[in-house]
Amino acid sequence: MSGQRLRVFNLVSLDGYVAGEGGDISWHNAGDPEFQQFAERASGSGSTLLFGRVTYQLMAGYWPTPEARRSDPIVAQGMNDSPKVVFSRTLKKADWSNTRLVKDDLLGEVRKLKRQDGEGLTVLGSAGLVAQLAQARLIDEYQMLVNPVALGKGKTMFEGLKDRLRLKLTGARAYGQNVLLSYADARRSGR
Amino acid sequence: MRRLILKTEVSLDGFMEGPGGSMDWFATGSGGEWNELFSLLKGVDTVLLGRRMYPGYASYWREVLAHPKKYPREHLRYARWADKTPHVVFSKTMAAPDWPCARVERGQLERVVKALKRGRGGDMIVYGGAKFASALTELGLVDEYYLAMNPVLLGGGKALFGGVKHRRRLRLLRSRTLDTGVVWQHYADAEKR
Repeated sequence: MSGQRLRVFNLVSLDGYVAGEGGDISWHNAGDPEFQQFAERASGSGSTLLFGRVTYQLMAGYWPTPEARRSDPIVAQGMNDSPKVVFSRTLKKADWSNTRLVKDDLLGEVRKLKRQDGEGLTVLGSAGLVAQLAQARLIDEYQMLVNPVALGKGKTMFEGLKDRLRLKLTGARAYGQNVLLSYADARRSGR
Repeated sequence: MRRLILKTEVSLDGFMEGPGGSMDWFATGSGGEWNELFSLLKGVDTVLLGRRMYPGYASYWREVLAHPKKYPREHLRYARWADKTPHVVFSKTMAAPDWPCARVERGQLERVVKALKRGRGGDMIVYGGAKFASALTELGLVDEYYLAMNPVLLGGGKALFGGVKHRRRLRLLRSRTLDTGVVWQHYADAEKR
């Protein structure tokens, strides 16, 4: 079997938002010892990370810092070492380690990446990117860490989705107060 | 104090109802779902409904009662339970319903629900609609939430908690996966004084 799968991972509120109004992520809470293990394993998996500009800049401003390396050394190492692709027309330079900047043809580039062999592709954050990829049915797996908070308003990663998409639950597991729900695109599962 | 429980289906993109009010995407075919619901209803003796939800709800369940052989067994079981359970419909304008178990409540929502909670009786349940559920949540009147997360992205519809103005923290009590891929998440309100 050749090619690699595209997965999206995001923290979401109960009402399905990845961020509150104005990009507020102050409510994000992934603290749980077992989830920490999950995060450490995931960040060291060798997966190529895909980002939109906003999430990329946020993470690029945190993970390489001494503070990140002190408070979360294993995840910081994984994040810094991982190969990364940022999709942006406006970003002038992308100098977080191991980053390739792609200025256009998001869908074409992602299709090409999926045809290559590798450790997998993972989108973190990047709501706008996810929406486009979801609409194009390029996402194989959705992982949502549901936080027990109702925001009322905010930004989803499915803004502009035109078609109804049926998914298949592949896992549901509580980590403390959060629940990690994993879904495969029902049309794609079995590949 | 009587508890108010909100039980609703929700899509992964956070909608209680699909575009155009469509409700056809609920995975209500499964025995597992009905078992969960009947288990939840054991302690419930009152149903609260918003005005917009009442007509469709009443017409469906009364239809099931009128033609019991045409519908699945669980639907008939629910219809019979509903028929003998008080339903309170909050509306200033709706005419008195002709279903004997239902009555219209024209008083102010917060005052009336608080009075109901102080009174004698079992738990109360509310299914919606979206606006009614948001109003109750925003007022801090909901004690427990059962959110049935359906494995579907709808792309539009009525947002769960769309009318909630202030961020609200809940406390996870239990998460349960059903055979249809629906995950029932059970939460308690965590903002009570």
